[in-house]
Formats: sequence, C-alpha cells, structure tokens
Amino acid sequence: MLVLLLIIIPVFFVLLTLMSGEKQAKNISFFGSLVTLALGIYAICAFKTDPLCSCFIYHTPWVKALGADFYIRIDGIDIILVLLTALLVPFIIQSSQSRVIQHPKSYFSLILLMQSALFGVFVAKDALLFYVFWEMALIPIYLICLVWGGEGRQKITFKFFIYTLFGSLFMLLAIIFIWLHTKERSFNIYDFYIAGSHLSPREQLLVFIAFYLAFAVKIPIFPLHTWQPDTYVNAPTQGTMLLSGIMLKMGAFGLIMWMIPVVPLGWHIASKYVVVLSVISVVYGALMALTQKDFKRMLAYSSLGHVGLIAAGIFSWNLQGVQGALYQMLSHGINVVALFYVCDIILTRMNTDTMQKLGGIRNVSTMFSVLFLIALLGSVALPFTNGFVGEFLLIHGVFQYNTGAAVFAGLTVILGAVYFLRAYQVMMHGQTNTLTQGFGAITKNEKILLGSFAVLIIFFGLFPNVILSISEQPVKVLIDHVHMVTNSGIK
Amino acid sequence: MKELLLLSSLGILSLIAEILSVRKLIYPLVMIGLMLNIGFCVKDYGNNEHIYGMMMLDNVPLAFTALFSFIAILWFTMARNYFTDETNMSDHFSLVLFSMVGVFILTSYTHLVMLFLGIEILSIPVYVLAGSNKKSLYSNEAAFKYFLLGAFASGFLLLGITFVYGGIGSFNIVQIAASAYMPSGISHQLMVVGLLLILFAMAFKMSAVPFHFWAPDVYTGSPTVITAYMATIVKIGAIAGFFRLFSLVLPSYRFFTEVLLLIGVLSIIVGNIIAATQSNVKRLLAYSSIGHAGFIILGITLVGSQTSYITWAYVTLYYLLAYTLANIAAFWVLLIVSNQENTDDIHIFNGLAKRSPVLAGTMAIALLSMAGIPPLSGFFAKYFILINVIDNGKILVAVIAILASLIGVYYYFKIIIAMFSGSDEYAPPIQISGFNKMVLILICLLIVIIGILPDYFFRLIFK
Repeated sequence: MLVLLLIIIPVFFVLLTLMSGEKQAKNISFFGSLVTLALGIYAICAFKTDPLCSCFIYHTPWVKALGADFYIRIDGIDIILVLLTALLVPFIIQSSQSRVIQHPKSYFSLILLMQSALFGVFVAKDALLFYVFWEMALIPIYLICLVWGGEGRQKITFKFFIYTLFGSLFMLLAIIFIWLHTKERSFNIYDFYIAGSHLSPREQLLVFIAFYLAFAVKIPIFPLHTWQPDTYVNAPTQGTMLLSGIMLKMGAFGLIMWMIPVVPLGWHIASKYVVVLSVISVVYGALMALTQKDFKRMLAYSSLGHVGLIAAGIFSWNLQGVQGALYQMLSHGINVVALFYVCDIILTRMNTDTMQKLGGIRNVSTMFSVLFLIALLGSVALPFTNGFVGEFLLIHGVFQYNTGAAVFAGLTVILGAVYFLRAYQVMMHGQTNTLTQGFGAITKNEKILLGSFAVLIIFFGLFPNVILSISEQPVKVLIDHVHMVTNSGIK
Repeated sequence: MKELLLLSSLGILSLIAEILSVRKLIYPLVMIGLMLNIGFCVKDYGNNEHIYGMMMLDNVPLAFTALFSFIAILWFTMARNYFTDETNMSDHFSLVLFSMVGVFILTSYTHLVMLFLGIEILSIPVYVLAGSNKKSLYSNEAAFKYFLLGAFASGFLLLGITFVYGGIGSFNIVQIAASAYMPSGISHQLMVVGLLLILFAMAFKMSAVPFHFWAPDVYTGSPTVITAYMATIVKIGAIAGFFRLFSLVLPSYRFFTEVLLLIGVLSIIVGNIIAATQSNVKRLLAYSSIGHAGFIILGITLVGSQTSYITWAYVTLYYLLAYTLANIAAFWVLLIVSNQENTDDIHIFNGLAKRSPVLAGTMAIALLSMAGIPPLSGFFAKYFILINVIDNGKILVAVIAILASLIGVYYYFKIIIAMFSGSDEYAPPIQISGFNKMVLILICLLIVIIGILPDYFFRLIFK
C-alpha cells in the first residue's frame, strides 16, 4: 500500500494544485512534495527493519488479455532512486522562489505529475507498466521545456522528444519480443529474466541493442547525447534539475534492472563496446566542459561526463561498479541539482552566466561562495563528500573490468577538478567588477536550500553505508544471475 | 431489427417534423433515439438475431452499433450549431440518420446485396452532406469528387459481387468463406477476382492507399462538421463492413492476407509521410486518418492466423473507439478555433494554450492519443495490433509501423508546439460555453481512462 501511495499522493496534489489559485500553487505543490518526502524517508526506515514487508508490494491484474499486471514493488535497488526522487522534488519546487513563473498552476502540477511517473518507473516490476510510466514521465518534462523554456525552444525540445521516443519505441519492440518468449505470456520482471536468458545469443544481442538505444538516449551516452546540452541550457531551471537530477537516472536504472539481467549474453557480447562508448562519454564530456564559456553549458557537459562514468560502472557489472553506480546516482542527483541552483541564483541576479564577465562574487557574498564551494567539491569527488564514495567505487569497478578503461575513466576526476575549480576561481575570486558589485547577499530561502544541500553532501560522504548496505544484497543477486547465465552460455 | 427500425424512423420523423414545423423537437428526439439505440444493443446482447437471412445481429455488430451510436451522440453535440445555422436543418438531420442506417447494415449484413445496399445508403447522404456548404467552391468540388470516385467504387463493388455470385452461386458470406474448401462446382479464379474487386471498393471507402486520393480534397472541402462525420462514423461503417466480410474470408483465402498486408503497410507509410508535409490541419487529419486505416487493416489482416476472431473484433473495436474519440475531440477544437479565423491553416493554433487552456489541453490529449503515447488509449490501440503483428512473425512490418508512427509524432507535435509556444500577438482569447467545456473534458477523461484500464472496456464488450 505504501508503494501505491507514493504514486498516488503526487497525483492527488496535482489535483489540489490545479484547483487552487495561482498564488497558492507553489505552496500547495511544495507541501505535497514534502508529504511525499516524509513517506519516502519512512519507506527507507521501514525497509531497513523489514525489507519483505507487504507494504512494499502492490499487485493486481491490469490487462488480463495480455497478462500484464499492475505490479509495483520496492526492493533494495529502486528504493535508492525512490529516495532520490522524493528528496529532490521539494528542492526543485522551492528553487523557483526567486523567479516569477508564468502559469504557476500548470507548471507545478506538471512537476508533481512527473514525480508520480518517475516513482512509477522506479517501482514498476511489470514491463508494460514500466514502459507506460517511462513514457508518462516524458510528456510533463517535454511540456515544461516547451512552454517555459528559453529562446529557440521549439526545435530543441522537439529534438529531445524525438530522440527519446525513438529510443523507447525500440525498447517497446524488445519488450514485446521477450514477452512472446515468456512461458505464460507475462510481463513480470522475473519471468523476463528467465525468458531473456533462454534466448539465443544473437537474439539477446538484438534485444540488448534495442534496450540500449532507449537507455543510452536517456542517460545520455556518446554518440546519442546531442540533444542534451541544448536542452539543459534551454529548459527552465526546474526542468533542467528534473532532467539532470532524476530523469537521466531512469536510463541508468533501466540498465541495472531491465537490460543486463534480462539479456546477460547480450551484455557479455557487447560489454566491451558499450564500456568504451561510456568512457568516450566521460572523456568527451570533460573535454567539452573545459572549453565552455558559460557556466550552465559547462554543467551540462560535466553531467555528461559523470553519467558516462556511471554507465561504465554498470557495464563492467561487478559489485563495486553497480553499487558505485547506485550511490553515484544519488550523489550526482543532489550535486547537480545544487549546482544548477547555484547557476540559477547567478543567472537571476547577473542575467548572464558567462564566466569571464563575472568575478569577485566572494567579496560580495561570502556565504554564497562557501556553500557553492561545498556543492562543487561534492562534484569534484573530494573525500568526505558524497561524490567521492560513488566515484571511488565506480573507478574501482571499471578497474576490475579493464585497467585501460579505468585510467581514462579516472580522467573525469582530474579533469573535473580542473574545470570546476577554474570556474569557481573565475567567478568567485578576483576583482569584483561593476556587474558583480550588484550581486548582493543571498536570501534566506537560498541560504536554507544551499545549506541543506551542503548538509546532504557531507552526510552522504560520511555515512555511505546507510545506503550501500541496503542495496548490497539485491545487487549481488542480480550480478550472480548474470554471471551464472554467461558462464553456462559460454560452455 | 429494432435498431434498424429505430434509426430509419428517426430519419423519417425528422422529415415529417419539417412538414409539421416542429423543428425544435428533432434535436432532443434524435439524442434520445440514439441513447435508446445503445440501450437496445445492450439488451439484445448475446442473442443472435437473424433478419430474413440478410443480416444477423451477433455480438460484434451490436458492439459496433453501440460504438457508432455513442460517437454519433458526441458528434451531434458537437454539430448542433451546424443544424441551427442552416435553413434546411431537418434535411441534414435525416441525411445523417439515413447514412447511419447504412452503417448499421454494414455492421451486420450476411448477404452481399445488403453489403451493396449498406454502402450506398451510407454514401449517398454523405455525398450530399459534403456539398452542403453551397456557396463554397471547395465544398462543391468535394461533393463532386467524392460522388464521381464513389460511383466508380460502387461499380467495382457490384462487379465483384457479380463475379463472386458467378463463382459460387450464392450471396451468403458464410458460404463464400467456405467455398475455398469446396473441391468442385466452384470457379476459384472468379472468386478471387470478385473478392479482390470487393476489397478495392471497400479500401476506397476506408481511404486506404492506393485508393485514398479522394480523401484529402474531400476532407478539406467539406464543412468541418461533415469532415468529422466522415472521419469517425463513416469510417466505422466502412471498417465494420470490411471486417464483417474479410474476417470470414481471410482464413480460407490466404492470398488476401498478403494483399491486405501490403495495403496496410502502404497506408501507414504514405499516410504518415504525406501528413508530415501538410500545413492545413484538416488535410493533416485526413492523411493521418489514412495512416490509422492502415493500422486497422493490419489488425484485420491477421484474423485466423494466430489470432482468434473475438480478439480481433476486440482489437479493431478498441482501435476504432480510441481513434474516433480522439478525432471527435480534435475536430471539435478545430471547429471552434477555425470558426474565429475562417481558415484551417496550422497557424490558427498559435498560442492556443494561452487563449483557451481547455481547448489546448483537449487538443493535446487527442493528438497525443493519436500519436500513440501512453497511457492514452491510442497507445494500447496501436500496441494490441503491434503485438499481434509480431506474434505472427512479421517483425519487419512492426518496425515499419513503428517508424511511421514516429513520423506521426512529428506532425501531431507540430500542432502541439504551435499551441503551447507559438506567438499569439493578434489572437483574442476564445470563449467557449460551459457545456462544451464539460463535454470536452469528459472526452479527455474517457481517452485517459480507456487507456489506463483497457481491461474493463474488454469486459464491457465480451463478458
């Protein structure tokens, strides 16, 4: 029941928001997201005491003609993403405080609708349901980017939409294909694991490619990333946060739950290529970030590099890699949302995010620059920040897979430090110019939000086991399943 | 039988009402009559009623009848201004009602003569209605074009029926289907040629490629209300008639599977690709309806291979319901918006989201449903067909269909983009009545609910 509430409560608040006045819209949706957050935190506490509690399962027939069930369930892997979603949405809604939003009712209800769909994606254990939620998540974010985006948004958002839809249609084909091979025509994920493993290597490879197209577009992985930088820059801040903070995790989550365990032999055949593509993403993202002049665009490319590393960790498919990927999904979500918020604060005040034009903000607002630095260090993966735990595990995982790949993947940490610290130096240090003179102190709301981000970054850096211990067992099971199939497949 | 009598008498009543000058009664009478018709369908459900060896009312025709009656209620709600604006409203009422009699016959015939009668009764009123905007050159052109080409198609149909009769000596569709297994006394060449001609004639009515050339011009030229009628109820009739004959014939004459597969795939490709180049919304919807016809034909094609008759009846009905609901909604919005601007060009949708959020939302849901985005009903409609196509081993066909619907996304989104981010410098806000608003929201809810719970709909039809 708890798991069903997670999906229903945001929808309930969508209705409330729609019925309320334009002025109250933000507050009501914020309250709704807080309720969901409380539920999410309760879920994780309850999960620690009793992971098999029946409140984490909701199972009822849905489309009987097809054997599809409305089967949602929280397990050790997806609870991390549920937590991430529940955690970030209140921040995302509250971060709109300093801006005037046109049509706030529609805006915030779309955000909540998106949250509901995201929960659905993460907890669905029925392939058809997963697909439906997957597509449902696309519509709100598309509308957010289309209606509230910047200049030239029509073309950019349309490119984004076509890319993702193109990928997911192939996923639909793959799902139907596996469904036809399940014993009793069911969409149940566990039946998928069995049916997929029994396909011939060639078929598994084809299914792997079809899934890969869907997930790699979403993550995104080179060379399917071209929609990403423009969309991030062009979307309204909340849209960018949703996209980079949560939505791209859908892709990485899909890799872990829906792709590699379903077609283990496909992974076995293709893993070297996809790891290389992911590492190219890492290096490409970092190099592009180095050359950017605008802060937001730099963040977009740095995000590309970071998620490339997550993908590489998943594709190396060992305990450290996958655990690191899960942890880094959480950390990256928090860090990137914090940084985009910093960027938004700068943009609202200065009307520009070109780094050369800024400088010496530290002299004007010390508080801001300190909080900015903490968020930044999380992304740079300094020890005792959350980024460190994830990236360490990831590089460790990739290292076990292939030393060469790990060396290049490790570049992300070094190059990340270079471009992030350079950006920080240019914007915060140096002479205060006429533009940054008017920066002023940061508001209480901004202080609270950035402060909470800082607390989260350090908390998850100090106590990684809070999360890692939950996911360890289920990750092991998935890994063993895949290795068992590949070992017997090779013989 | 009751349904047939009801629809015909409604048509005649509206003519009489004109003579007695009690016009105001017609509209409520028709609405009540259509609701009654749905009631009859529900009541008759399960008993197979034979009507003089010419028609048989089993469950599938009843479901089709209930479907088109329901859509007709929505259509009449949408079209009520059309009838009050014109001077000769009862004529139009009776024309529409008579053409519905044709639709009813097409759903339930068992005799080929009834097929011919059904198609003629359906078409002739629509020829007139297409030209009902007397002062518009395009409307006249539409009527004329539709009539000429339709007459040709009828000719083909008659020729086909004659050939089939020559081949087997019977008009009964069950016997025709069984003829493939009869070893002697039958000319199979004549049968195949005859059935092929019938197929062409019906493909014309469904506006499937390569018999679609009339559709864009006729759709564009006719008054928007009549275009909506053609895109929904006429389409249901044509497809029901087609389904009736070919669901029986296909399992025994495998040759037609290949032909239909070709027609279906071509319709999907051509319909979608040409729709992407259109800037007139009516034309765009016309081409998109060609693509949808292709999908439905793909569905019917597979009857008898892996898929049972009842599943296919369900899949076709579901697709039709999803498609007609979305179309009614889209045409309704187009009707309201184009009324203000006097053109059907896509730019009239610019900034509609600001001018009228309800209209823009309805249009967006309708278009998203037609594009097949989950969880709207259009998704499951396409999905049911695709899984059966793949189930029958036609993976290439499925891939082509998917790629073509990706193109579909492109042109549906052209409108959505215009609505949500186009500039709206000159356009004033659009006021719509509370009643219209309510019905539009109701349609949207239906599109969503049928999409989320396809199972309940299934149980509704086939207990």
